[in-house]
Parts: sequence; structure tokens; C-alpha cells
Amino acid sequence: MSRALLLHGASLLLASAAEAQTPIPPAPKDFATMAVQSDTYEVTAAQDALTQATDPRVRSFAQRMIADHSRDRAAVKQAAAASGLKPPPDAMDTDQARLLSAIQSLRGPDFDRVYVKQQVLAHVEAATVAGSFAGSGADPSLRRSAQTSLPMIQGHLQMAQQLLAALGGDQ
Amino acid sequence: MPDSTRREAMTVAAFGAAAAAVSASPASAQGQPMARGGMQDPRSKHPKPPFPAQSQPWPGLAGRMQPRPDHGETSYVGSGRLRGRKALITGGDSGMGRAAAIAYAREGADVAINYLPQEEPDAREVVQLIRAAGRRAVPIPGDLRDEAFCQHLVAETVRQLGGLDILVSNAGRQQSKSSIMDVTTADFDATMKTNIYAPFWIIKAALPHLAPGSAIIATTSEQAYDPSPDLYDYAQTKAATMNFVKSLAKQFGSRGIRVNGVAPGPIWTALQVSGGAPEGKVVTFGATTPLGRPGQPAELAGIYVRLAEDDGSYTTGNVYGAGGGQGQP
Repeated sequence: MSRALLLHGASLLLASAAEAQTPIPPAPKDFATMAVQSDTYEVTAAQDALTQATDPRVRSFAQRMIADHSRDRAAVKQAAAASGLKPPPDAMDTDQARLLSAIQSLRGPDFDRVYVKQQVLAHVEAATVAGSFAGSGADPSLRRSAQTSLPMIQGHLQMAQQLLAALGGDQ
Repeated sequence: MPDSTRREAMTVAAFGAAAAAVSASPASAQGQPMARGGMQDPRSKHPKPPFPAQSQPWPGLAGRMQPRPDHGETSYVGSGRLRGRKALITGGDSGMGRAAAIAYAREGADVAINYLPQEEPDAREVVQLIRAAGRRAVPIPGDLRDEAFCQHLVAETVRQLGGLDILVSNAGRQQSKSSIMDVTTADFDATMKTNIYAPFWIIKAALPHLAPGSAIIATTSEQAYDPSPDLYDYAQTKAATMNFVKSLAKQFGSRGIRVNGVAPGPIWTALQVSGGAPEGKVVTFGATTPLGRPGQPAELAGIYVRLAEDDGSYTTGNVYGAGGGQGQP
């Protein structure tokens, strides 16, 4: 499911069509799970980056990811609880686990480039999910949460794209 | 098999003695021995990432890891499943080998352990734990890359234990290298010697001593089936191990000797923090698994017992996994 979303998100990005047809938002329970999974992946990958990244810009980006996504994860759980849903556990989905295991084995500039490239893709996916739920998600409390998350995710996406360009990685 | 009252008595006696001998407490939250049959949440039973960034020179000491791995020092409760057995465990100072050594002793076996001389501090603790369980402990330090030493290891075990009927080929060398270009011939040779030649030499030396009912257990890995890119040399030795488990099970079946493998996923051991994994991977170690954490060696102790004990007599040529939900088999 995530892989499909990722590809879908990437094609949206390539078309750079802000007015492209809005995907049908996931059910509130599924949105909360996906948002927490995405935050968990971001925090965990950034913990790896803090130890492994060589470029200081990548390290400070990772620091920012830990701060922002930890806060976002807490907010999503709170919104889920406010709507009477069980807050999702801090877990990744299997695609995110695969992304993490790919960077775990890398060192030096290779690490920096692959991590930042993953960050672009992961934030495209997260923006797609948050964007669709922020627009027409069925639960008001989680919809507000998505509306708060969306500009943060878009900001991260932009940072990651600029960082990737600065590292000379392919877009 | 003993009746339940007798089991209970042995269990309590073994634990009491062992608990008195252990001063350092492992990372695990559990300080109390649990009777078998309890239930704990596997996600929160042991420490989760992130872990402190850390690295030690090869081969590393479990005693210097943060958090300290749990090898079952305070938790493993035996019940006579290996009473009177005689075991040799390579790499018995730390990691899965240590967990197996503690469990075997508490199940009633005498245990010889092999390790590198640099691992003496870890090994001393294991010797103390085996003796605290009321069993004979034989420490035999030495480098398995030497064929003569491998032969000596088996001969010395047989001499001091008065025989041998469980062989755990567990010692392994793992060094993460991003590229094949960084693997020197010396590196490659050391990995092959430790992980492939040593089991070959040791099993050859041990075979004449193994009576029907004996068991050989080899530590393979999830790496045998789905190798990480930075473990080019190590992963192929684990594929070889998985494979020799199957050929030797066929060869030795007619002699009544069973051969099985254990395939761990990411387990919190000294091998990982001494160059086996990049530092960043150590920080997020085990985060990729569905359980969200690395396994502790203690969580595999029961597997090594199961594959050695007489009750498991129809299991041979098989590989038992403990992967936290990821990987094969």
C-alpha cells in the first residue's frame, strides 16, 4: 500500500500539479496509523543519520526531523485519542523498515546521499497522505491535525530537495 | 523425564545458586526468575532503540555494552532437560553462545567454552555461572583459525568432560565493509577460517567421539537468506553454514547424530558493536523488525536447548529462526 502511495506521490510531484485530482482520503483510523508510522520512520532514520551522516547540513536536517516528527507523532496520537480512537503504536510499515535497513549499512557520503534521497520520497508520500486527509478526512480532530502537519511536511520536503541538490544527488 | 516435583526442586536450586553468583544485572527489566508459562509483551520485554552510539575493538566484550545484553543470567530456569550431557560451545563467552552455555548448565549439562584470549573477562563470568549451576565448566581460550588448535579444543574437551555429545559451532567473525573493495584478502581469509574452516575442523575432530543421540548445532543467520550489502563475506559463510547443516544431517543420520541450525535476526551482541555493524546501525539496531527492537541472546537460549535435548529427536537438517518477524527461514 505504501509503495503504491509512494509511486502515486512521486508521479504527483513530477507533474507538479497542485490542482491534480485529490486522492480519496484514508479512513481516520488508517490515517492515524499511517501518520504515526511516517513519524516513527522519520525519527528512527534521523537517529541513524545523527551517528552516520558526515555532512553537517545533513546532521542538522536530521536533528530537525527528530524534533518536528516527535512533536507531530504526539499530536497525532492526541488527536486520535480525542476522537475516541486507540493511539497507534510507534511502529513502521514494512516498506519503511526496508528503507531504514538500506541506510543502516551505509557510511560517509553514500549515507548522506541515500538518506536525503529517501527523505524526499518519504516526505512526498507523507504530504500526499496528509494533504488528502487535511482536505476531506472524515474525522474533524484528525483533520485539524493533518492540516497542522501538512505545512511542516511540505517544508521538510523542500529542505530535503534543496539538500539533495546541494549534495549533487539525482532528483 | 523427571516428575514435576523433582523438576521444581532442581529449578529452584539451580537458580538460587546462580543468582548468588551474578553481580552485574543485565539490561532486561526482569530481575525475578519467572516460572515457565508466564506471559510478557514481546515488544517491551527488552530494550528498544535508540541505543547509545558505541564501538569497541574486535572482538568486543558484552560486559562493556550499553545496555548490557541479557544472556539469561538472572532469568533462565532449567528443568533437567540436558542432565548428564557434555557440551562444547565455541564463542561461549558472549552472545548466543553464552546464553546457550548458561541454559545448558542449568539444564544439567557440563559445558566447555571456547573464546578468544581477549574475551577472558566475559568468559570468566560464564565459567562462574556454569559452576554456580552446579556443573563442570571448562574454559578453553584460543583462535579457531588454527586447525591444530581446533583439534586440541575437541581433545581437551573430551579429556576434561569425559566425553562429548553436544557440539555448538557458534563462534563467528563479522565485520561490516561498505564495499567489496574494502575487504582485504586478510579480512576475507579471517572470516572464512573462523566461520567455515573452524566448523569443518572441529566437526571432523569431534565425530569419532559422538555417540548416537549426540547433537550438532550451528549458528547460521538471517544473512544466509537475505544478505546485507555490507556483509558480503560474512553473509556467504552463513549461507554455507545453513547448507552444511543439511548435508551433514544426511551424512550423520545413519549414525544417530542430529545436525541443526539456528538463524538469528538482529541480536544485541558484542559482535555488532565491534565492527559487525556501522555505528549508526547500532543506534537503531533492531528497529527494522516488526517487534521494533533487537533480540537478546537470552531469547534464543531455549532454541539451543531444544535442538540439543533428547525430546527433539526427530529434528535434524532443520534451521530454527529467531528473527523478530523479519527474514528467513
